[in-house]
Amino acid sequence: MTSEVSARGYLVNWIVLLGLTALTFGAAHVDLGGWNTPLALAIALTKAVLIALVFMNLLHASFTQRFVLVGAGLLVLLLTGVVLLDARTRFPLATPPGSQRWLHAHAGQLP
Amino acid sequence: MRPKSPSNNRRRFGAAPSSAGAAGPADSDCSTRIDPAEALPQIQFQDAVRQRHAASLAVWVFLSTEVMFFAGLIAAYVVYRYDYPAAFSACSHHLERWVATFETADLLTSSLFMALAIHFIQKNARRLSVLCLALAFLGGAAFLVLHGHEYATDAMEGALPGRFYRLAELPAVGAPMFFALYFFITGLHAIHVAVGMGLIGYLVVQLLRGRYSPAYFNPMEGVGLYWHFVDMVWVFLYPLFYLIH
Repeated sequence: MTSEVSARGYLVNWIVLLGLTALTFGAAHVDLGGWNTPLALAIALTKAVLIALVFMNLLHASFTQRFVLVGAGLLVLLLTGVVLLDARTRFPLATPPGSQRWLHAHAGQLP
Repeated sequence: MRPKSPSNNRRRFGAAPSSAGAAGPADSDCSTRIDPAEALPQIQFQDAVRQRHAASLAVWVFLSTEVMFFAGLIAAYVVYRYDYPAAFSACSHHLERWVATFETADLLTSSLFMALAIHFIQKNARRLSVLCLALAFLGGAAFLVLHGHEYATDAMEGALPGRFYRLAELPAVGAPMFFALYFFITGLHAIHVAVGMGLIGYLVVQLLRGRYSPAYFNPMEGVGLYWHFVDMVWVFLYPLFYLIH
């Protein structure tokens, strides 16, 4: 627990985080087809991992501390993943009126 | 429930001479001397390292519940963004991206100062530690001011949640839901920032009273973890709300 990150290490991490912020801001103004959101989320995940490893000292933390965070991350993936799966496969009647899927479903039913 | 018996104190200090020396009379740059018992492990812990580990693990467990708290809201966001992709994109472009980018940099900088404050207290540089905490506090304050400015602009334009929505230039279907999620999730995050600022204020007071030393700074570490977590949440909210292509 005593081997902490040096002040220089924190500074370097901060500069990298600011660089990644600039990168995600720039990437949002370039058309990447359907890859804008995945890229933005990948950069956000990288930043979160850097914050956890360096600022939150997870690099020098015990197994239990890492386990708690990784467990929480897995639960988040499970929750958002299954919710998205539900949204994509829900039958048309359960979609809110005016939404794209609703319009699509109702256009299909018109004679 | 600190160990009260002097013999117990001696035993503890004897077991860890390096930490005891740093917390002892050598520490003369503050008005109040450290209560030696403050630096000791509490009665249920074998040593200070285990106490520090337990305190930090408890904060991690608390943060994992916070992760789930925000994850439920993010899941709601995922569903409605899937339902109203065009409206969410239009609303995102309506928000002030530059302000949000500056807020991101501001919170990251604040996180840096928090990490440095904990770094300096371990080097027994108390004044530097107080300075870093004050700068971290200012970072939080700047974030709230900028966010308040954003909220005020949105409210005056009528970009409000649900049935209060009255902004004509954006799609009437979907945009009220975007702003409902936007105000609720970023508002909840802003409350976390405000709570964190209160905790940092408490740390500054305790630090000035000489409560923390290289041998005992568990509260600083706990608040630090919380402050970095708040920063981490914003790192995800920033692209989700402000950077939809």
